[in-house]
Amino acid sequence: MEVRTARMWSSAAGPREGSCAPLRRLLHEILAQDPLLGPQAFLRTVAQAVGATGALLWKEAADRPAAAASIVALWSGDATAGPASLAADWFTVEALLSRTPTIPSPDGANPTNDRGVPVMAALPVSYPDGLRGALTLLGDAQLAPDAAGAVLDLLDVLPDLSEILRERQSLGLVLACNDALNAADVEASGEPLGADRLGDHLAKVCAAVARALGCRDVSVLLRDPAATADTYELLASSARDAPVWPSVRAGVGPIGRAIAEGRPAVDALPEQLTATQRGEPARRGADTLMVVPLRSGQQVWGAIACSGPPCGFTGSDLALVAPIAPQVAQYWGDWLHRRTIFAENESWRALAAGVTDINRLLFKEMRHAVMDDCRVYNAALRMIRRVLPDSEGCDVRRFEDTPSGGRLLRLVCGAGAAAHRPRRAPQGPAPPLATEVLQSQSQRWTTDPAEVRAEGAGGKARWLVCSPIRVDEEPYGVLNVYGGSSVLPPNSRQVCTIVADQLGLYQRLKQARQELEDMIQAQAAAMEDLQHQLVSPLLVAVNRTDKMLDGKGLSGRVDSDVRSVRAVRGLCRQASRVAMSAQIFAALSTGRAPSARPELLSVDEVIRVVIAGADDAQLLGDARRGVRFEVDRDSIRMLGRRRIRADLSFLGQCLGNLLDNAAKYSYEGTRVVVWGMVDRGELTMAVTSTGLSMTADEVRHCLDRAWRGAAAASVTGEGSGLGLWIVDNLMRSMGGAVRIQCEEDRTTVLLTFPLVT
Amino acid sequence: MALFIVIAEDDHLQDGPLQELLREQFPTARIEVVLTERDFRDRLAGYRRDPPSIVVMDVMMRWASPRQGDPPPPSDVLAGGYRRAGIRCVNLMRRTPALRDVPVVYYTILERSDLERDADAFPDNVFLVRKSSDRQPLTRKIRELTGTGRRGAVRRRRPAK
Repeated sequence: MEVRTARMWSSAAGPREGSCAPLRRLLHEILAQDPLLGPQAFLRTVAQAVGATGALLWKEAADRPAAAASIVALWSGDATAGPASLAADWFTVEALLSRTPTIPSPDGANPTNDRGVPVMAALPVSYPDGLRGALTLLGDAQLAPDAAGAVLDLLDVLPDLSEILRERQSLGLVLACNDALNAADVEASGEPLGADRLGDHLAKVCAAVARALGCRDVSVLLRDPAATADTYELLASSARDAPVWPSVRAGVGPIGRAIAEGRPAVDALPEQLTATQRGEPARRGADTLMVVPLRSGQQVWGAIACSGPPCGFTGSDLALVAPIAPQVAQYWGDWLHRRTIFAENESWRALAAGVTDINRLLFKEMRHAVMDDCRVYNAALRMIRRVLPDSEGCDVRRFEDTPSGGRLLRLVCGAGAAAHRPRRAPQGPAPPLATEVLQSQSQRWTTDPAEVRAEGAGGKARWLVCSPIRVDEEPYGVLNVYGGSSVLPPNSRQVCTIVADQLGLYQRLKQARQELEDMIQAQAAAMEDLQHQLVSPLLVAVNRTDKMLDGKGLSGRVDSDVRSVRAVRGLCRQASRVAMSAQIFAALSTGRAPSARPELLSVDEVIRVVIAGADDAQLLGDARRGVRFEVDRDSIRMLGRRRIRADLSFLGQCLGNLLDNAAKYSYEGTRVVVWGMVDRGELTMAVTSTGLSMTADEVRHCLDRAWRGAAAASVTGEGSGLGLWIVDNLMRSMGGAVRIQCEEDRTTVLLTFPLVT
Repeated sequence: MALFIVIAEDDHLQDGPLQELLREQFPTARIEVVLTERDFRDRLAGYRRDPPSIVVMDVMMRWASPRQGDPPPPSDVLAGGYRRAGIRCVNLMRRTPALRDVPVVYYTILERSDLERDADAFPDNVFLVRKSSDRQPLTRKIRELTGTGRRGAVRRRRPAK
């Protein structure tokens, strides 16, 4: 580099005399400036006052050589006048080291620095902390004596003034940022601002930074955790006409690297690299870039990217922007939090409204003869989509038992992405997460895309919540809800639990209604049967009595006529027994146990009841079927002088019910035997018949209410399943018991009474 | 042509007196009693060839009397149960062209509303008479439907206006 001769000029020389007035003017002008403009404006004022086209203020680093002094502030009227590098030129170093001004001789052209820019003067500066510095004035003009005097006078206050201006600028920037964010807060008094409106407010922050730095564009890039992509998107920019930054990924490009490292990057980018080659977007004049990460605690939300200042960025620029970065980051974090809270509140409100809607729907469905599961499921799924806007799809899958004892999961209803699936969705074994839900009966969730896919979720789902739909402790199926964001929506698990419970409740209600309907039907059927059993003997009894009264029913032969009268008596007893069954059925149905009036019965009284029952059964039985009713009196007489305590009418009722069953279910031409046995302090009376039999399992259930054996139900069909149930209740009310023994087609029903000693 | 009355009644206490009543009221009539739903189905082929003049049908009727080694009832019987046996028998008649128009009287203790739960229980030629100690309503309905006089002779019907 060619170095021209320089004339050393003592600071004690004359031109400094009488320079107070220009200095005062200069200072007044400097202090009247926009605080945001800071030392740059101050340099501009000084430079313009002396006819310079540029000015740089330097300060040495404590532990580095003088040539490595850094720029505190710079101003350039011409962008080309900026430094080639951030290292000081020879003149500046000379002035800094010698602590004397370096001013070119007025008789020659000004010397040039290593970039070929003419240097008017390099003036030493002493900072209050003892470090040295320099003010470099650039330009072709000669430094006039008056101007030189004013500048030299200014050198005494320049470090302090520069510091004050910098602090004033920094404070101004923080205040501008505060104002913008406060304005955003005021606007967002009800609900959080939309991202666009927030961007408008942040654009004011960008504009303030751009003004303070004197750069072309300042942009704010931020990451929204609720977004599907893990990228940092442009939210605000100071330059309205500048093309937007594309999505930035952490670790990729200078912005992405600064974000990934969490450290600011203050660099003039290599000039020989074009923006496109660097992987950055093509931006007009964006040859320099400063990136300040937006960090709040450990969380880096994005970055402030500053580009295109005329003369590159300095460490002071970074120091200027650094205080507002946490402000913006904190605000973004708060905004996200407010948005989440607001969304959650909205979500709960929507959920409450949705649950109310579903309950109304359930109420309507309950009034339909056939309840439509899919109508309820669809309402629930639509509600989930409203409550959780992040959900892409949801479906209900029902567990179904297979004949081989396995369990399949069938998709029965879907919404969103799941709605586009084939109507007849294939069924298969439950996938892993659903299997866990089936086993644990508790909710499971995942954000692992592979696991989400394994569950068969549609779309580009990245999270999935699988909740059990339970009926009591038995899982009925699962509710799957899934979405594309990278994180699980905050209240999604609770929402899914509530909706799944709601569906479980629906299933329970449906089941309860079915049970109630079954019970009502069973009661109606029982009443029909009882009516049938009651009316039939009464009609026949009336008919026979009418005939007797007409004289047609009596033959004149005593035995035949007695037989006719006995038959009528049997019909009346049968009707009486049915009426009593109806009474006991009504009492038991309302939870009242039959109340026995026990008395001591001798063997003769027992035999009389047994014979009467068998006699009625024979007389009223269908003679064409040839079923014979016999009483083994000797076996009952084993009771001897001992007695049993029983209610005579209950005993007759029990025997009558057993003999009715025997008459109904015996094969043609077989015998029904009533016999007795005394053993271990008990009298057992039994009815043995040959006919439709029961399996061992049926024997265990045959005392249940409204239970009927498979063979009896299918062959004769008649009967209400109440007979043995009533016998059991009557026997227990008398302190006795009933047992059933089946051996092939022989059935024996035993009534046991304790003996009274 | 002599009146042909079919009685489908599974209650052995009732079928005898009913038969006796109808013989008395319609002395020239041929009367046949079937005791179970299975018997009625078995007789359908015969009725196709020789259609009854009227069928008196019980509604709650057993499928069969228990007999060793009998096959299980058909699926519609298992599904419908014995409470609607008579309605099934009438439906079988309705599906048989030769028997479609044979008048039927449900003779049962059930109410009309009980039967109307089955949508097709009451085509135009099917009627209900409730069982009671008064047999007149039944015989009156049979006369009305068969156009028979007091002693069972078939009366000439007046042409419809």
